[in-house]
Amino acid sequence: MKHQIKSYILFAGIFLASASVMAQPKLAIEIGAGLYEPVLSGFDDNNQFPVAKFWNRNLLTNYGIYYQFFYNARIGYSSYTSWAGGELNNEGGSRPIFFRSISYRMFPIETYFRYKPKIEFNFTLTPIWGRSKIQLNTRLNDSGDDWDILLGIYGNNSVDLATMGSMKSDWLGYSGQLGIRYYIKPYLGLDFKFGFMNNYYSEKKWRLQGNKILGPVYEISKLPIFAFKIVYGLK
Amino acid sequence: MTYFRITIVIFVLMSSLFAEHMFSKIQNPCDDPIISKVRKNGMVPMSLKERIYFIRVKRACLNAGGSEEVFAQIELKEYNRDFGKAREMSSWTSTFSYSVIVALFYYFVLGHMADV
Repeated sequence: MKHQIKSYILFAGIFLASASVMAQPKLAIEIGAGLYEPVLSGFDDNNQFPVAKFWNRNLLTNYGIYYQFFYNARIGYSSYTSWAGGELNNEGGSRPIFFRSISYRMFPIETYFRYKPKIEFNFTLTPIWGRSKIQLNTRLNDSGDDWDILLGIYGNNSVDLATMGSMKSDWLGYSGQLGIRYYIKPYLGLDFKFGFMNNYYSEKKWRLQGNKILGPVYEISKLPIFAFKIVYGLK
Repeated sequence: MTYFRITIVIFVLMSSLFAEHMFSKIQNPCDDPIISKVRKNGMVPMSLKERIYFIRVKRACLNAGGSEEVFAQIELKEYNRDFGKAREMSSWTSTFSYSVIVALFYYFVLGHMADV
């Protein structure tokens, strides 16, 4: 019996060793851009914020890293971020610099197959851990006034701030995407994806230095998304 | 002045990283061992440094009258190898892909119909 167990262990060892030699763990990084169309009425309904433009509403910057963990499957991290910045036109305040980001951080599982030697189709499902952040670069003496004016827009009472801070909100969601990738080189590809995002965002779940506050209204619950990426295989 | 310093630091770093491969003259490029290495293992497992060196070797070899066919064959072999491995989905991956298609269908077709 002992001899049999040893044989099984030896066999399993050889099998695992050969699998690790034969398998090709592939690590890839990607950078790119995404397009989507949210309705950020929390900003658009108020003329104190920087004017809505294509680059601060519809454009998402993207980066990510993927690891091929199975024959036709990858797992990774991919982040899409929308940026906005400019002067906050707050009457009575110091006109501070306003900065806003909305990040859709994804942890995708992607399966794929090659339709032709250079063309791949891929299928992605991913949970989303979203985060939005609003920051004001105020003058030190005007910090409290500027924040009070901003928070007043969303119906908050005055908040006592120890120092300058940033308000944040987190939410969960999910996304499904279908993609086509063209390989320029065996290690370099162009990836085009389209799909949807569902975000469970609530304007009631913002926080600022430990205080629960009301934030801007974002209509980001059901959004189509398009993305174009350059994928570089590291190993 | 700061930009000048940063440029020098970057230049020194880059040259220490890539000096041997970036600036040395390649002797007999068409017989360089990197070509047989790439032919055997492909380009994917190589480091960035090796990939840059291989691109230089390829250029030098072509300039020296080497055949482009050799390099085209290397790439074709690699594409075909990857194609052979990934042309069919294995195990659970096909089910997963169907799930993604169903989710997209549900979102774009049924969801749109429900909104209308």
